Amino acid sequence: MNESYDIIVLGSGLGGLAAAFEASRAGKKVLLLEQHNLPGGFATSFVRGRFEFEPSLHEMPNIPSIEEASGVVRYLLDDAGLNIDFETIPDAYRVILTRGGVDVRMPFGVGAFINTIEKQVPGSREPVTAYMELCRDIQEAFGYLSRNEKKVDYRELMRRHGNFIRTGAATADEVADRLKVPPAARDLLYPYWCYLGVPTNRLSFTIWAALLNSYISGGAVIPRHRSHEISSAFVEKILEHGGRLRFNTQVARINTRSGRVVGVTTAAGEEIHCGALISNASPTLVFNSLIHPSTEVPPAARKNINARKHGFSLVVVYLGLDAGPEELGLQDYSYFIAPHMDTRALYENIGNLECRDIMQASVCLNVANPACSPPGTTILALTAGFRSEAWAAVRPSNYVKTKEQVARKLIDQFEKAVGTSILPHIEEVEVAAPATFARYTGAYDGIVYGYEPEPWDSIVPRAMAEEKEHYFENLRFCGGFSYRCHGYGSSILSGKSAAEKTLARTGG
Amino acid sequence: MVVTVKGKTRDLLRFIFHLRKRNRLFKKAPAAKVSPGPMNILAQELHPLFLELKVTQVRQETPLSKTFRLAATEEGKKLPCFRAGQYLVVEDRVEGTPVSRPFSLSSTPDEAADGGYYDITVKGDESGFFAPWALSTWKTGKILRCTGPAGNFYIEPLREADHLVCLAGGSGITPFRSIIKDSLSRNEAYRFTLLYGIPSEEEMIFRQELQELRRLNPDRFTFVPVCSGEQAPEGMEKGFITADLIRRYVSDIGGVSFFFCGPPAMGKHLEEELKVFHLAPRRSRREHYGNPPLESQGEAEYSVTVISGEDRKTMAAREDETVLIALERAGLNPPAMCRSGECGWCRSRLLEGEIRVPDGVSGLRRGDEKFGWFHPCSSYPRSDLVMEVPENPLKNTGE
Repeated sequence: MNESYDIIVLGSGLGGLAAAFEASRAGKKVLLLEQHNLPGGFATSFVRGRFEFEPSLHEMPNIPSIEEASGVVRYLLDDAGLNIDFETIPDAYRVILTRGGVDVRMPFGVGAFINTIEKQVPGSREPVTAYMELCRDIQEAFGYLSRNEKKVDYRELMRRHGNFIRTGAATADEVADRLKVPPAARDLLYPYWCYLGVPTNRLSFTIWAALLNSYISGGAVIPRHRSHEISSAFVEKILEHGGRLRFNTQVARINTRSGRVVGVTTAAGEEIHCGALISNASPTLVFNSLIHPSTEVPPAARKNINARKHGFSLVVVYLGLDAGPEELGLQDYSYFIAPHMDTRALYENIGNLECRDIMQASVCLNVANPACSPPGTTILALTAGFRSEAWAAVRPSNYVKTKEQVARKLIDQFEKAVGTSILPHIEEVEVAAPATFARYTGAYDGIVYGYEPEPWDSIVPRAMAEEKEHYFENLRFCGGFSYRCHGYGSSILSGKSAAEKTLARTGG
Repeated sequence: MVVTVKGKTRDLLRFIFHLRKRNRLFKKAPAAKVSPGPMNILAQELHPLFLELKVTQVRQETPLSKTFRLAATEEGKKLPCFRAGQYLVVEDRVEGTPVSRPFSLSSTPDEAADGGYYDITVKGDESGFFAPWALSTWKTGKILRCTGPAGNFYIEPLREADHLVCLAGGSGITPFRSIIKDSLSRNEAYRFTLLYGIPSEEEMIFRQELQELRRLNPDRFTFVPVCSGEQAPEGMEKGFITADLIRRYVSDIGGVSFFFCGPPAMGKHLEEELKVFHLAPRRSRREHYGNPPLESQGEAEYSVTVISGEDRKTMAAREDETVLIALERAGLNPPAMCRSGECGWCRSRLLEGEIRVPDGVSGLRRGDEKFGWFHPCSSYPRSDLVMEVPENPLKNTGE
C-alpha cells in the first residue's frame, strides 16, 4: 500500500507536534510518525507506583503577551487552543554555592530580583538594573522579529533595537563585563546558564538575555499533569483536525530524488510518499543516517553539522519520597546547587562520573504543584548535565551500578546543600542516563540540548542563514536542533514556524 | 538606554563578522559522516526492541511446569543484561492467533552473560490459554520472538532494607530464584527469607536448588515452603502464608522489605494479611501474575469496535475479561507487555464507551486519563466500546 500525504512529520517531540498541529489545522493531509509508543519525546511522563514523574521540564516562561518571542504559553492556550492546565511556580530559584557560602532565594519579578541581588551584593543595583533593562530590550527586539518574521527590515530593527544589533556578537560575559556587573552578583544572575548548556564566556548574549528576561519578568509555569499533558493536548488537536499519528513506527530512511524529499520508508519496509517533510529528528541524524541515497546529501550539510558542537545530555535522578515537602524541609521548587558559579569550570566538569564539583539543577514538583503526588509524599528530581563521552566506557554489565553510584553522589550533594535527608524516604527511584534518553527519544547520542548556541550559531545567525542552509527544498527542521535553539518554548515555536514555511511553499 | 560592548562602530562590524564567521567555520569543517552515537549503541545493547531466541533445552520442573532455556539464535551473540527479577515478553501464535505473555526470568544475569542463556519457567493448567500451548508445543529448536528484559521488580539498593522477605505463590517463585541466587552469589549485604506457597509438594518448583542455596548460605537465606494441600509433608508449613506465619520467621518486621510475586488472588489475600504490619509503601513491592482481579464478575457481553484509518472491526468482549484479551481473541495482536496495567505498553485511545479498572492497577498517566487514553490490559468493558489500537512494534520491525 503506497500512501501519500501532503506533509509527513518525522518525530512527535514538541517541535513535531506543533508542526503537525499547524499543518493539519491548515487543512493539509498530515502524517506524524513516532518510533516510541508515546508522543512528546522529552515532553512525556512515566509512572512508578504512586508517582507520575516529569522527565525533563523544569519550567516554561509565562510571558503574558503572545506577541513576544517567549510567549509560548499564550500560543499554546490562546492561539492553538490546547486544553492544558498550568500551575504557577512561586519563586525563580534558590541558588546554593557550597564553597562560597551563598544560599539565596531569588524571586520572580525584575524589581524584586534586583532588590535581592542588591541586598546580597551591596552596590550592585546600578549595573544589575542596566543588565536587566538590556535583557528586556533584547526580548522586545525578538518580539519585533517574530511579528515581522516574513520580512525583517534590518534598518528599522537597527533604529528601534540598536542594542540588539550591538550586542548580537557578544557573549553573556562580555556584556556583564561592559556593564561592570560584579562577580558576586553574577553568582546570583547566572544559574539559568545550565538551561542553555553553554558557559557564559561562550554563550550568545542574545539568547541568554531573552531567556533570563522571559523567566524573571514573566514568572514561570508547569503543566499540571507533567509535560505529557502538553503532548497529549497537541495530539488531541492534531487528530481533531484530521491529522494521522502512528506510534511504534520508526522511519528507516528518507527517500530523496534530485534534491527533493519524495517520502519515507519505515523500519517495517513500508513506503510512504509526501509532498514535504518536517523533521523533528536532528540534522545530525537526518544527514548522516536517514537520507537515502546518502549521495544526495550535499557536503555542505555535513560540514554544517561538523562545524558545530553538540550540546550535552543529562543524568536525572527521579525520586518518589514517602514524606511531604514540609517534613523534608523542601520549601523551594527549583534548586541550583554548585560549589561556585564559575560557569566555565562547571562546564568543564560536566560529565565526570565521580561528580566532582558539578552543578545540579533540581526540582521539587510539589512546591508548584501540590497535588502532583499523594498527601505526605514528594516528587524530587535531581538533574546534572553529562556529556555522553563520560558514559562511553560504561558497559551494559556495569551500567546499572554506575547509575546508582552517580545517583548517590547527586543525592548526597543535594542533602548536604539543602540540609535535609532524603535517602531514608525513597519509595520509588529511577535514574535516567544519556542512554536512557537515547532509548526513548532516539536523539543522537542521547543529547538533550541541541547544537551549542555560541554567538555565531545563536538564533539570529541561524535564522538569517536558514534559507541558505536549506539543503532540500521540501525538508525543514524543528525541535531543539533547529534554528530557535533548544528548550521547550523554542522547540514548540520552531515546529510552528517550520509548518508555516512549508505551507507557504506548498500554497497553504 | 544605549549599550555598546566594544564601541558603536566596532559592535556593528562584529555583528557582520560573526555572521561571516559562521560561513568560514562551515567551509573549514570536514564533510565526513558523523559516526553513530555511542549512547544510541549502548541503548540498543541494553534495550533492543525485540530478540529472536531459540529454545535450547526443556526441563520438566513439576507435573504442571517446565523451564525453557532460551539462547540467541546467532552463535556468539550477546543477550542483553537485565536486573534479577525482570521479565521477558514472549510472542507465539496459539492456534493461529498471535499472542504474547510476560514471563519472569528465573535464571540470573550472570547466567545470561557471554553467550549464556535466559530461563523462563512456564506453569499451566487447563484454564489458561498461552501456557498450556507453550507446554505442549515448545520443543528444543523452537524460535521465539521476545521483547528485551523489562519490569521494575528488582532489588533497588537505594531503597531496600538489607533483609528481604520474599512471598511467592506458584510460578511466582521464578523471579525470586533469580533475585536470591544472584544476590547470594555476590558479596552483598542482603539476606532473604523466602516463604513459598504451593498447593502440593509436587508443584514446588526449584525445590532442590532452593534447599541447596539454603544449605550453602545458612546466614543469608531462610527458606520456608508453605503447602496449602491436605497432605503437607514434614518440614513444610501447612496452610496459607499469613501474618502470623510471617511473624514466626521475621522478628524485625519494621526493618525489612517485602517482595511479593504470585497470582492476583494470593496478592489480594496477602494484602489483607499484611495490613497489621502497617508497612510503608516503600517497604512493599509486588509483581502480579495474570490479570488484575475484579470485585464482582458479571457475565454480560459487549462489542468492541476498533478503528484503524478507514477500517472498522467489531469483536465481542466479555465483562469479566480485559479489553486486551478481547483484542487478542480477535487476532489483532496489539502491543502488550506487563498485562497488569503498569508498563503502559498497550496504551490505546478510547473513543466511546465505559470501562472499569480495578483499584490500584491503573498505572495510567493523568494526562492520558484527561484525554481519553487507557490501558486495555487492566481495563474491563462496561459498555460497548469504540477504540483505536496502536501498531505492534514487534510486528513492525519486519518478519
